[in-house]
Amino acid sequence: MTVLLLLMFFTNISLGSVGIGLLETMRILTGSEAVNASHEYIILKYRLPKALSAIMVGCGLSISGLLMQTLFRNPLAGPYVLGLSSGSSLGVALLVMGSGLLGSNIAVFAQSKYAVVLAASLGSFSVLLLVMATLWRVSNTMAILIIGLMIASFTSAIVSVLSYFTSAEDLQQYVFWSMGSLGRLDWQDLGILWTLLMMGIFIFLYLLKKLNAFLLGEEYARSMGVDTKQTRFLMIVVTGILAGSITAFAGPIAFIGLTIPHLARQLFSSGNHFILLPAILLIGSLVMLLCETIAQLPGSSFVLPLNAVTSFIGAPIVIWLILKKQKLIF
Amino acid sequence: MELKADHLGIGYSGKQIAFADRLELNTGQLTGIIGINGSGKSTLLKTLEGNLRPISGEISIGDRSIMDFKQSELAKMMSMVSSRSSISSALTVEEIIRLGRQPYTNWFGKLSKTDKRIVEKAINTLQVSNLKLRYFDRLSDGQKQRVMIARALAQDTPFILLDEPVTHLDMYHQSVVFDLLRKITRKNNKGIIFSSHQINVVLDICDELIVIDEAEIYQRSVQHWLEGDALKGLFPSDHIRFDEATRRFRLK
Repeated sequence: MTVLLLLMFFTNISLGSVGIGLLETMRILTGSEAVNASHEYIILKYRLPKALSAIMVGCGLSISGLLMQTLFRNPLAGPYVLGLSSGSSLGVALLVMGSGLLGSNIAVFAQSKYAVVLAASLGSFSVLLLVMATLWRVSNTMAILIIGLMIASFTSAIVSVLSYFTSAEDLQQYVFWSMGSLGRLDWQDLGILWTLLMMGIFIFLYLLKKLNAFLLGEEYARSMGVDTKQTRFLMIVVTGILAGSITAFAGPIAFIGLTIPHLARQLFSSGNHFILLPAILLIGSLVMLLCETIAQLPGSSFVLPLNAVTSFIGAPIVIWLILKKQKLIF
Repeated sequence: MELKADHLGIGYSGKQIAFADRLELNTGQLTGIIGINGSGKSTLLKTLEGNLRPISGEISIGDRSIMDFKQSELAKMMSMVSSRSSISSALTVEEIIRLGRQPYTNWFGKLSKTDKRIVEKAINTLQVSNLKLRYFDRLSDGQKQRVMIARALAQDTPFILLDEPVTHLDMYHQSVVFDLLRKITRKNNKGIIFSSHQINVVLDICDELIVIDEAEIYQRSVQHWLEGDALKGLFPSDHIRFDEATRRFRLK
């Protein structure tokens, strides 16, 4: 599987609107002289960051999804259950659509990339704070799930109202953002994402054993010495930071967080987090690279919305796996 | 070792549903908790486990209040078998039983030789070695219950608390579980406390009996209960009576 991942990584980089041979790609990546200088530019400036961000986004979303499924003991949970991507959407919608109403100075600012990232981060972060606040008051895990979903519906309602009153141009900008894309990340963004991802993985490692205890339910986990309050808190913080920052940089990306953990469970027939962690990191990167490659429509100058591709690819795979195994392992 | 409760009020969100003046549970003793539906059997167990704050009074293990125990320390004193819990279907029997060693393992959950030996012993005691590699949700109710008791045993605590361990089982498997509980109490010197509706069996196998009746919790030896009149009033007398000669509750 690791071999498959490497192969996919190079394939992803070599394919795009301009096809660059696999050998040439490897030559450039290993630092030897490139045959074509413009190829080197394309690869180092655009394709390599995009491929790396695909891997990081795949890993980050998979971790968030797995954490939420374990926390809520619900196979339908994913990063979205906390309402984070809805929060990001609201932030961006307010910025893009709201700025049009507020005059030209702000409108120019709103076009810049960092304004969008900032708005998205603020959006998901405030939702995260809201979820934490409810966590403080409510100890029932199911209640948190429902509150998260309600926040999600509430924010999307505001977005719909906003889009109804907004100009076609601004609406289009918002829609583009909501389609998700990895093309927006430069090396600096990658650095930030990498740091956050590493932090997430470290906390996940710290939680590993406790997550397995959670598979018996919170009551059992507590009786086995797990500080369930602290564990639950960390699970939500990690999910919030990973899913929030990814949505901020790349826009909402559906399906990955929900389904990669299922793929891993079905393929390895296990719910054991010691097996699942490496599995979701591998599968998450692999699937995300695959989706990104397809979204590029190699050989053409068109680009498909990534958000749609992830669902196109992923949903059938999961259905097929379940039909094959006749059962959802959870 | 002793698990004790003094002036214990139990209940939810500040509302007391039952009160015990004194409970004293010892290792090497099998204790049954009986009472009608809604009397507070599960609440009492949860409170003793430390999962639910007592309304009043204090619970202690070996003269140390359970409030002073860290969660990880308490996990070395008491283990539990819950009656309603959604266990992941993606775990094998062996993985579940190994989880019982969590209070003793490092952050990575690595099992030492001792851990493995204790797990193996629990598996053998509960006779589930043929199920080791099976997934939990493929087991019958009787097998599931044995696996969860094995997990509790692997946790190697002086006390094991079980909430209605035989509820979904047929008569044969009920007797298997009851037999095992009695055996574990004696052989492994555990203090086992369980709630049950099978009053007749409880009277046969237990050493101590906790009765929850009209918001009062009493603990006496089984012998003591049988000698007095106390059991006669446990149920409304229109349908059930206690037959002293056979030590059995009977339908009228």
